[in-house]
Parts: sequence; structure tokens; C-alpha cells
Amino acid sequence: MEPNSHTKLFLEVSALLTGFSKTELKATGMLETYYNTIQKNTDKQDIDYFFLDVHVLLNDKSQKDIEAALASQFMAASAYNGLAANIIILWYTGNWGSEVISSASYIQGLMWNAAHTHPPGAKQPGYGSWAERPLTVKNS
Amino acid sequence: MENKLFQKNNPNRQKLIKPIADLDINEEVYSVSTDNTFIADNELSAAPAITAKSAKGISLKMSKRDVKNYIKDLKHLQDCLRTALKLELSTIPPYLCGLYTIKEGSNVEAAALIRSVVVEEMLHMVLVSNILNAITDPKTIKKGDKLFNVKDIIPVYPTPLPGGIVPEVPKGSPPFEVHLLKFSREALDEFSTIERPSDPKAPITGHFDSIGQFYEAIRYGLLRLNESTPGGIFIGDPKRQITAEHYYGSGGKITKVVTYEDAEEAIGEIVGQGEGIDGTIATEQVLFGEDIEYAHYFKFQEICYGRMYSANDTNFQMPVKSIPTGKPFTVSWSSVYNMKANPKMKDYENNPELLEKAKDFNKVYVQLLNGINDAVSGEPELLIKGITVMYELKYKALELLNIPFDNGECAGPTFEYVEV
Repeated sequence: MEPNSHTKLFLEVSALLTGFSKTELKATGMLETYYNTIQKNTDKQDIDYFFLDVHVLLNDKSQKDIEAALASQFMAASAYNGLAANIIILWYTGNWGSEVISSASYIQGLMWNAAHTHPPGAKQPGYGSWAERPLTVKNS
Repeated sequence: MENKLFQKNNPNRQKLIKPIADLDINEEVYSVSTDNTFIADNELSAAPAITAKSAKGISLKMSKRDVKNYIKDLKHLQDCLRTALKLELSTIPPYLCGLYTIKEGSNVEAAALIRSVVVEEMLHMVLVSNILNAITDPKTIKKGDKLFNVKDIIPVYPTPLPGGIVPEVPKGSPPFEVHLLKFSREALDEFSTIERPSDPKAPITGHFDSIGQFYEAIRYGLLRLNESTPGGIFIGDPKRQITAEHYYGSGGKITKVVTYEDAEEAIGEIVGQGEGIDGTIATEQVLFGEDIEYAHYFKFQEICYGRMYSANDTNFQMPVKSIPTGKPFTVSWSSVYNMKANPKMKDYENNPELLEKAKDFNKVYVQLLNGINDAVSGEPELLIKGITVMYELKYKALELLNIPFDNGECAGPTFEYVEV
């Protein structure tokens, strides 16, 4: 399979694993960095099988509940050496294991958005904003 | 950093600011004794060349007489001030697009310069609101009325400059319109054109050729109507004024407007920050607050040339040929998000997730304007709260800029009105 389609699959499966839309994931600007991160830190065989199976799963028209299938096939620590769980942690925290990938990955961690807050020390919301409900809550 | 960048200690820096020029304002309009004294004082301290120039008068695109008589009545004056609000606002999105499309870590000086201009444009909106509030009879304000209508004030890009301002463009070019562009030479040309001072050699026509000329008309109108109206026109509720205590941080001075002189000072701040001087280099007076920065036009020139003005750069005879000779800095036209020009929500209709993101941005934009509108409509203490939204605006814009299209361009903030 072409690496090119791997990045596409990576985006698709990341959206399923994180619950954030593909556009929201792209909007972090971290897609390429994270794809390279898993390439660098995961056994090639695990990656190849992972994307192969993801590809099959996403194209399986008979599959009614993709999330359930993901949960049963991909989430076990033994499956693909825990890659699926690592991808979730990667997107939410910007970390690979306990290593911060970059200052940008720290800022772009989805956990801040999920909690309607901001990464301490970055993306400051302005003086006195703490007295208000977060804009993301107000607007949703 | 700011200190180094903007040469706060450079004694010549205020030379780049236009003191509310043209102090012959009342030669044909009204002779007010105090104003005459003011002129006399000023001419004493000014170099002979300047005196000669102001005596002769600077020929503007719209004739001086037309500028003086442009404002018809109080209603027209108030309408023009609302147009001025729209004018100030129309410049903010293009500057923000220029700023946001600069990639983190690159073009540091250029980003700081553009950012300082944006902050001042917001200040101008507040100053114009103060003038408008100062001449609005409190009895005419119904409860719940807002100073302006957010939906009407948001321009559709590309847009001509509001207020019938038609800056000169090179021969053969289409009439000037403001576009939303990524940080680029084209964008900097556009910014410079917006802020360019009136060209004295320009032929007389029926429209304004610069933002400064439009404000001249407003200033004459304020003076004339204030003199001809029994009791004057400055009868607004002072409690509706935004003052320094409601506005923190950089961006110049907030002028509380309760008299004509205050209004003149506010307009001086607006025009001075925008265009700078035209030939008025002789005065060392600091007229409008201590921390005066280079006028916008010259900040944009600095970016165009990749060089700061130095202490010895003065000149600025019109037409402006000033070339900065100070410290060079790096301008990288490639470390930039390749934003599609004039993005629209309509462009994103085939991508619902992206459309949602664009709407999120616009919601924050409209909230920012609503906050400013509330503040200038009798609740000045809300201004700071409104300004905090500014931060969120940037983060939402950056999210859009991270979303690529197949043709190598990327999405961008659309600055359109949405219901919130």
C-alpha cells in the first residue's frame, strides 16, 4: 500500500479514535508530524498490518458498527503493539508515551479543546475571561 | 522587544506623525479667537517652509471648499461617523489576514508591526464611537438602542473603502478595492494604499482620495455645526464615553470627547496614526500622548523595504518617497500560509465540517463586535471583556489556515456576519 494512502487512512482512523472530525484534526496542523511520529516509533510490521486492517474495516460495507469493531479488534494492548491507544494519547496530549513531541504538539493537544480550556502558558484567553463561560461552551 | 522594535527612545520618531495638520481650518469657516491664538503659536514654532505650505494650502483631491462644506447637517454628520466606524472596521480583517497567515516564528518584525496597526485600528473605532456619542442627544436614544448595527457594518470583501474614498491607483488598474489576502507583497501594497496620505498634486475631483481627507470633512463639519447650533452639538452623555480606564494595553491614547477640541484631538490621533505627516517635519511637539509610534503608512513601508526607519529618516514630502535606512530585518514571503484570497463560507459548502469551522470563527468575530458595540452603547466597562475575545479569534483563524485544499491553497477566516 502507498504511504500516501497511509496518511489518508491515518486521518480517517484518527477521527474515529478521537471523536474529533477530520477537519478538526487537520485544523491542529499536527497531522503530518503525528504521522511521522508513529512511523518513527512503531515497528514497521505493526504499522503495515494496522493500516491494512483499518483499510479493510473502513471498506467493509457489511460492517454496521465501526466503532464497536475498532474497540474489539484494535484497542487491546496486544493488538499492533498498542498502536490505536497510542494514537489516541498522541492526539489528546501531544505526547508519545511520556515524551512531549514539540511545543506545538503540547499546545494542540485535543484534551484542552475537549475540556473547553487552554494549554497553560499558551493560547491565553485574555484578562478576566475566567469570570465568563468559555466561548466554546457559549457557542455550542 | 517592543522598545527595541519601535524605537521608543528615538526623539525623531514623532516626526513621522502628522500633527493635526492644516491649522488654517477656520480661515473661511469660523473665526474663533482661541483657535487663532493656537495657530499663531504653532506657526511661530514651525519652520518657514511649513508655514508657507500651510498658507498655500495642500491641494487635495476633493477641493478644499468641497471638503469644508461636505457635511450638511447633524444627521449627515452622524451618518458620516457611522461610515467612519465601518471604514475603520473594513481595514481590520485584511490586516488580520496578513498577520495570521505569517507562520509562527517567521517574519517576527513584520508581524509585530502589523499587530500594532490592528490594535490602533480598534482604538480608532473606539475614538470614532466617542465622537459619535459626544454629539448624540441622550434624549434621542431609546433604551436598548445600540450605537451601530453589527450586521450592516461588516463589509463584504472585496470592498471599496467605505465613505466614498477612492485612493489613486496606477494607471490602467481597476478601482481600488480591499481584498483579504495572505501576507504578501500584494497585501502590503494594499495596506499602504489604504493608509496613503493625500497626494497634493492630485487633480481635484468629486471624491476623497484618502482616509485623512474624509476625516477632514468630518472635522470641518463638527466645527461648523458646533458653532452654528445654539448650545453647540456636544450634548452627549459623558457616561457613554470610553476612557483610558476601560481600555488597557497598547495602541495609543483614548480621548474622552466632551468638547469640539476633544473631538479634534481624537481625529488627530486617528489620522496621525494612519498617514503620518506630509512634509511637517519641523515640530518636535508631542501632541497626542507620549508613546507615539510610526504612522501606519510608514510601518507598512518598513515591511515593504525590510528595514526600520532610522533616527535620521525624516523627509516625507508628498508624494511620499521615503525609504527607510535603519536596521534591516528579514521578511520571508514564503513562510506564510497560502490562504485563498477573499475566502467565503460559500466556498466551504461542499465540506460541512469546514463550513462549521468557518462559522465558529465568524461567531467569535460577531461576538467581538457585539462586545465593542455594547461597550460604546452605554456600558463602557464591557470593553475589556469584548477584547478578550480577540485572542480566540486568532486561534480560530489558525485552525482554518491549517486546512489545506487540493490546489495547494488553504482555507482562511471569512469575516462574514452570522447570527450568534
